Amino acid sequence: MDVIHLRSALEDYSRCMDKFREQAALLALFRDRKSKWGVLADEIEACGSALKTLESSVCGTGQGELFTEEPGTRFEAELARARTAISQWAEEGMRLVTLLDEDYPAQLLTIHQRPPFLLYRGRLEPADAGGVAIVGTRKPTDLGLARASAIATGLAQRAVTVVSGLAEGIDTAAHTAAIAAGGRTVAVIGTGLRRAYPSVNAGLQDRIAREHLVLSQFWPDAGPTKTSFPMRNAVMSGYAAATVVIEAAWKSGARMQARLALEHGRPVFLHESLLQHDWAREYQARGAIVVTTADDVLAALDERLSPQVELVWS
Amino acid sequence: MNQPQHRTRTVDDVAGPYANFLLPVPPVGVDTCRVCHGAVYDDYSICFPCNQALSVLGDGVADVVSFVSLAPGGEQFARELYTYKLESVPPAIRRVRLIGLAAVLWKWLSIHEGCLGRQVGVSRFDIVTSVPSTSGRAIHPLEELISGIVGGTESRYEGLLTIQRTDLTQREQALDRYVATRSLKGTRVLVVDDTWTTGAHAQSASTALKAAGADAVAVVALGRWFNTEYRDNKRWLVHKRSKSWDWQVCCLEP
Repeated sequence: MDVIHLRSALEDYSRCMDKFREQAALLALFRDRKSKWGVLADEIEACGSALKTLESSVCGTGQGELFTEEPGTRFEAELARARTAISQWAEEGMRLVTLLDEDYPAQLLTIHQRPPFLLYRGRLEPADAGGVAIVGTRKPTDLGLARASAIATGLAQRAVTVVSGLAEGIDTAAHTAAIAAGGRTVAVIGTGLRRAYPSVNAGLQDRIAREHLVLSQFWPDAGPTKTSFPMRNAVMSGYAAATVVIEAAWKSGARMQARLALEHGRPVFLHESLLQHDWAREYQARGAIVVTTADDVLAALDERLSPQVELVWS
Repeated sequence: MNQPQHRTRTVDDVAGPYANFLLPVPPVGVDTCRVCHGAVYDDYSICFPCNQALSVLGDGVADVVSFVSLAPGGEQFARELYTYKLESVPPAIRRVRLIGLAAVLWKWLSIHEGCLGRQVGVSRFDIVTSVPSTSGRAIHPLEELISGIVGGTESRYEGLLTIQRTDLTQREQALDRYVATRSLKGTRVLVVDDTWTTGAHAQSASTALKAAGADAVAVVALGRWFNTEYRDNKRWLVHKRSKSWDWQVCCLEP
């Protein structure tokens, strides 16, 4: 190897080590933290370095109450612990991306609930930013299942990534149809990556992880909780360009995701059959778009996501 | 259908969905600063940063200040105003958000420029300008928005200010932070900014414009950012939030 190549290899290596240290520092900052993740994420983002944020928190200028031991020792111990965890996860095929990394899903950065880090199995694809989330009830009718499959198939055939939550019912139908159509599908799950919920979908989760992408904003062993699913719905809305609701009652995660997506300013599509519900008519008045086919979704999205659009008064 | 199409969208159409997260700015009152419409405590009528601006800049401060929406830290509008210019977000995604904010500003100004004007006795401002940014970008996205996208401002846009002091922190106002590039005698200027945090930038800009002879200066910021962790700001927000968004409602003429 000549000198120039050696130098660039060393630079790459040192960049990698820096990134690894930054990732470890970010995990260390969030490890025992119970609340105000958003405030800390803002701080790290503004500072541009999790290492510096950790340093100031250990050395007492930040949230010093986190640490009680001698600062230097504690700082290195925290970093070492996080690095061990990252290596362990990597051995299990789980990869980490933080909001300071270049490959963090950029569109997700634009919502206020963007997680400070994500764990994933599979492959991150920038083109997923044009993806569409399909959500709905866990206890669908046959008609609901058919509608979810038809829309997922239509999107997949046009090379649009189908994003869903790997729950039973509509989610499963959406993932399965996208795979069957030869498209890409992404599962944003409400537990850690070592868990499968519901367990009946463990096989599907493995397959999506192998061939596509399974994303989680939770620690690997985290189980399902009352708050994890709404948090997951916000991330699903942020990861995809838009959300389609197929079949959903008022008290459902799907309805909640529609609300979150509206509050993110993202396009929300409601299957026409939902208009029997008061909530769906209310969301329509708030800007949700009524659709019946994948083409309806694509036509409306095309217009709304085009960077070439010219704004006119009327 | 694979031909690149020339598309147009109307301001109402693009701005509409923002009503899902824009927050009305409260009128001045017992718990609301008479300059920046943020929370005030202990029976003051003006908040600390605004009072600071008055004492440092005196008559230089803007004659009237208004905002499109509250933008509490940690909520969507604050995020929107942060990420529409964030370089780690790909240009195509940023562009869509820039157009969205342009529609919001266009629609808002079409309704409320008159309210700003009435406070200084004019119906319309002669020049629209922005606060120069320290980012080092050739054209700041906000400048692009006001000078090229928003129909109500593009023909009146002129970059009037340059940065004169680079030793100041984000929160410091100064008489010489900016300087105008030409004489502004007899003009009425509208300054547009994206986020108002303490007002240090906008008020220093106003001071420079007046020093160059501007007769009147109004400031409008898209978002009135504030820290929900400070004192009782959370409770203040819950109280103010009880009013739902309405494009027609004005914080200057409630």
